[in-house]
Amino acid sequence: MSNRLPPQPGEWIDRTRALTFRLEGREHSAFAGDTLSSALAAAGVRTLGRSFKYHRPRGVYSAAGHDCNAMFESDAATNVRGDTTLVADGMDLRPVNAAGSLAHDRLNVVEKFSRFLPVGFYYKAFHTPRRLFPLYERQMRRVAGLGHIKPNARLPASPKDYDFCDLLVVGAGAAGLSAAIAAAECGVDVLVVDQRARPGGSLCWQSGQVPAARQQLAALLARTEELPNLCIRAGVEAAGWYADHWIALVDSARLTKLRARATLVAAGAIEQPAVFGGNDLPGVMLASAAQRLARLYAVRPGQRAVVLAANLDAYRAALDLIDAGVQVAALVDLRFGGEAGELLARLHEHKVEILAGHAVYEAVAGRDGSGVAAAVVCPLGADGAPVVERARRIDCDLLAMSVGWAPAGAILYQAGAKFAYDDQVEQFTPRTLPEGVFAAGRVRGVYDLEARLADGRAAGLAAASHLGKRQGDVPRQSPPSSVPHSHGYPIFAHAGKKNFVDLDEDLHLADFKNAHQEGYDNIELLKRYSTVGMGPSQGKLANMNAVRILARLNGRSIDETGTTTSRPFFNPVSLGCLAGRRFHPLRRTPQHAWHAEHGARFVHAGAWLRPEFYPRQGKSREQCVLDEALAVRQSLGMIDVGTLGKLIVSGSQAGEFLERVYTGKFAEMKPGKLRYALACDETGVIIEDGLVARLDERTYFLSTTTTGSASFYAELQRWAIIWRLDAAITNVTGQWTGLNFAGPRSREILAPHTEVDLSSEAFPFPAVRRGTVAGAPALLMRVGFVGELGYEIHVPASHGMHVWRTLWQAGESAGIRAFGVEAQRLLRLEKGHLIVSQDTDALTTPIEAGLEWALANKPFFIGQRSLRIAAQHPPSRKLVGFELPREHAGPWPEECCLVVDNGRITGRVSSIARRSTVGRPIGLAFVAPAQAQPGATIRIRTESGRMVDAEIVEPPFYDPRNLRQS
Amino acid sequence: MTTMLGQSMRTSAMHEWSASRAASWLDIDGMRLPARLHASEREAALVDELALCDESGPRKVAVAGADAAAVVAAAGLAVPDERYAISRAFDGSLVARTAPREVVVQNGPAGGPVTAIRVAGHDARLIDNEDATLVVAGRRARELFAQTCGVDFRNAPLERLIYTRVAGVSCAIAPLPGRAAPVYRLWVDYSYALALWESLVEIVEGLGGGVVGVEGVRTV
Repeated sequence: MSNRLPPQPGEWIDRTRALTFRLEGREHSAFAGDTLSSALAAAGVRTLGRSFKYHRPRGVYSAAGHDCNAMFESDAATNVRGDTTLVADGMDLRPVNAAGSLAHDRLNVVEKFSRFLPVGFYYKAFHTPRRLFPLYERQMRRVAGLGHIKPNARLPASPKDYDFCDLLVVGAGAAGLSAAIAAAECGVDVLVVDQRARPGGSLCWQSGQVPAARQQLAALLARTEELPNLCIRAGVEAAGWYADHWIALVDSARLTKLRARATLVAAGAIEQPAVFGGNDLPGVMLASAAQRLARLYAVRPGQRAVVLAANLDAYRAALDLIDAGVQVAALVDLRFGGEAGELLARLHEHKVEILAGHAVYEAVAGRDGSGVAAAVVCPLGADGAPVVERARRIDCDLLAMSVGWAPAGAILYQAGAKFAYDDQVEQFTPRTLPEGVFAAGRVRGVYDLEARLADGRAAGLAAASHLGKRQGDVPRQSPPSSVPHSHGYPIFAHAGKKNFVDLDEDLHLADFKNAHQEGYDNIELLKRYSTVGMGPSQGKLANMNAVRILARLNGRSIDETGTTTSRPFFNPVSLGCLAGRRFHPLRRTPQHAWHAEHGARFVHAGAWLRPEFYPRQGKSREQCVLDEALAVRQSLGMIDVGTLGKLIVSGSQAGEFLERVYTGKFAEMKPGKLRYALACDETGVIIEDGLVARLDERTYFLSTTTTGSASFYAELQRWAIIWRLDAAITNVTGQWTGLNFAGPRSREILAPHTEVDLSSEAFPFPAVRRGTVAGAPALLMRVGFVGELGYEIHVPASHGMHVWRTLWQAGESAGIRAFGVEAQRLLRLEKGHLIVSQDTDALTTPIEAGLEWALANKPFFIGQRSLRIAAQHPPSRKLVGFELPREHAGPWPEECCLVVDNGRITGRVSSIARRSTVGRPIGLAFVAPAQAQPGATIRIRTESGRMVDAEIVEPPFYDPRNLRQS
Repeated sequence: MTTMLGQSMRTSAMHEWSASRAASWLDIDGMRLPARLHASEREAALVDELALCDESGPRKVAVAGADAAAVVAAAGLAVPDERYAISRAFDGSLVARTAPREVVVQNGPAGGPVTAIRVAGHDARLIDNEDATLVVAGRRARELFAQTCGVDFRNAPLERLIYTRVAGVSCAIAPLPGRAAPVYRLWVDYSYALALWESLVEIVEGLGGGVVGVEGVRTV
């Protein structure tokens, strides 16, 4: 059956573009501009979803995304919202919460047990016996929740972008457009967003009986196009407000981080449902939903309707339904007086029965249970309760409710606005607004069109004045409506039926009464206990009624009852949208492409990617690492050290600066010399080490660890500001790159490629020279980190690849091998060199690390005072070397395994190598001072729990007299 | 300076990316860069729409110290007084006042003044600046920045350096006047340049733009 109407004035569908999509394998047709809900309604599909808990059939309710009745999933997407998602050709969808199909959901059997599943049942029912909780949990997780995450689905990255404006106007209805135009005419840069597909707000769908409305909308939109400083973005939701007018805007493609200077909310109001028996049946819907279906999507929402009314909007809706070809059987007005005037007269003309002082007591399901077939209406007694004895049944397949509105004030709440309940208009309205935040229109309780336009204009002018774009007085905003647009208590409990309050969570009136009886008499507590307002719709249709119910249960006013806290986001936002495009920049050395070309396996070192080792076919990682280390020991190896921190300190007091920063002496160091440098913090804890090379009288070159360089540079900057010495620090870490050319044949291979005299006499260990390598300006340093004759060569980054390739080719005759971080760690371990942050921790002092020799006797260095105090007490631990027996075959201790002495933890392993070029397993460990004597045995607890004995030895394990450096 | 077949000792951070894509090459200050990646008509269209270019070749130096401005001025260059201000010479070279005691100079595409700067005898030191230089051009350039950077470029003055982060990478951006729309020159640490480049290429191509060679952006 097709419910599609002939073309309607102002409809949003494009009848020239026919689309098809599938739901549960069945093909449906649609037009471009249709939402999933409107297309299915046009096709006569009444059940669009199944409810969360009881799996009851649900249909179109708000047609605006204010409920989650219509939610679908596809192979790629989860929780596709039917009311707000436009049909795309070829969509293939399934409902999110139906076991079986929408028509036959096996889990609707749950409702038969509903008396055993009251609110909060899961808090009480599954505690005992405790051992069964995992079983309960598994089952609950299987049944609960909406939709399934598709971990393998790959969607295009959702971009996040930034935007800026003077004034953000939320809502492109009459008030919003009027405000935006007024502000823009004053020269304000205005951005208007509206979550609907087109601007116009309620003027698009609620204007059928207001002849001036459509002309008004056309005039407003025409004016906006004349203003170059006014931009309208439709289909964009202001999803959250954060400090200083930082607003998250969300559309179907992206999240925009908007920084505005002021915010004006004209987001309108959200129509609220009445509560009565069976008020969730398909065919029961908000009058605004019926109007949206008819006006925007040209869909007849039913054949025969009953309209439940509590305001003038219901009368307009009834006439709109008649215009759409729906037979309106009755208008049931909750007010004893009803309405008078032209609209009433027109309804009489159409022979619509007007039942003033009546309520709908129950929506009766048809025989198949799939939708409403009749409304049971009762007169209201003097106490406002339905007189059930005088109930009568009116057949209908559509029950449209227009009993009240709640302000769409989420952004205002988040911005810090204070709302109070206005008894006159029966609505919360903002009483105080933060600076730079403005409100207009229905969100303020202003309902009449002319009043909304004036209200918007006044708010826009106020915003322009606030932004300094306008002088003079600001006209007063319109007062809230003098007549109520909402019923004070649209709740008419049917004793034998479920009277739903929150459709998302399947909460009905009895749940609230039960929760209240259990003591949850505060709105925030009630929310958390019952979960009202915590579903995908975030209480847009439930919270106001929940407040009214609780107020009545407590015997307090609505103001005294208050509301729950509004937090971002206003509507669910996909995780992909929040994540956005992944920006995780990695640092790569200039030689990176060469490493990749040679099959390096990379490892993260801070922000850098470094070659860990270079795999060889048929060889294990451990063997590859050992082979690389052996190449360095026996012939020639080359490692990329471009990741090391590199700083230049220059100025007449550069030496003095370094004297204060490092524990050693540098002020008197001759140009051309270099030294190991150790830095501590004020507490004497090691924070960094490296080399300091003096280039000339005023200039030093510092190298630091890869991962510590950024923080150390910041620390040096801090001290430079405090000390005010003539010492400028330049971070050249990324400007220069480096390589270590190491091994007994390094000198002979390097010599032809530099004019620097590499002889031991001219260039001893340790020292620094400036010159060129392979034609590139270079800094050459004789260093001993890996324990072999070697040259650390630093060149400008853009020359790095050229120098690397040149030396690689030169070294091929010597069997050169590239070595990675792992081989370097092994080689330095053999020399007993510690790595800061691996062999030290956040409490390690030079005294514990065996670096007392690096503490110079001088007037001051950072941490000196603390170390002097520490030296007066015996240390609690010492960093020592240890060996395992050559024939040890496991289990193997790992780094961080504990050293245990008589059941007491005395230390931990900080570095270990199972295989080394010295032929035995070696390592470094913290131990108790009493265990630190060479020859002593320590016990290490392996990960398997087995204990392994190791012998303390004095490092270095290799070449203790540095003979290899000559 | 620019040559067609110079000996390239310097390598751009984006070299490997460009290697399989460049249609023709040229050398600028010893660095081999793609002259063209597409036909000139196509590059001209991209430059109008949205184009990204690796222009890391022209050498850059920072001159730091009390005499920095005087030293650069002595090389015949106009040094702006205001911090972050930029001046450009006819040859395309660029002088940026990065601090009261620091000036950055970048050569133009045909060489330039860097080699003429002499610091001997002055309270100034010369620091080679190896930052990569990326150029973003086209009427949709601001859309690229909207997705990657928190600066409002609509209201950003031209010829004033902006220090910010683009796609998570710290950059200095020089918005310069262009033929039809501003042209943005980005200076980015060499080690981060490829990561930034890859991010920008993905977004640029998503926006309908593309990468062009050095000759492609000379028309802007």
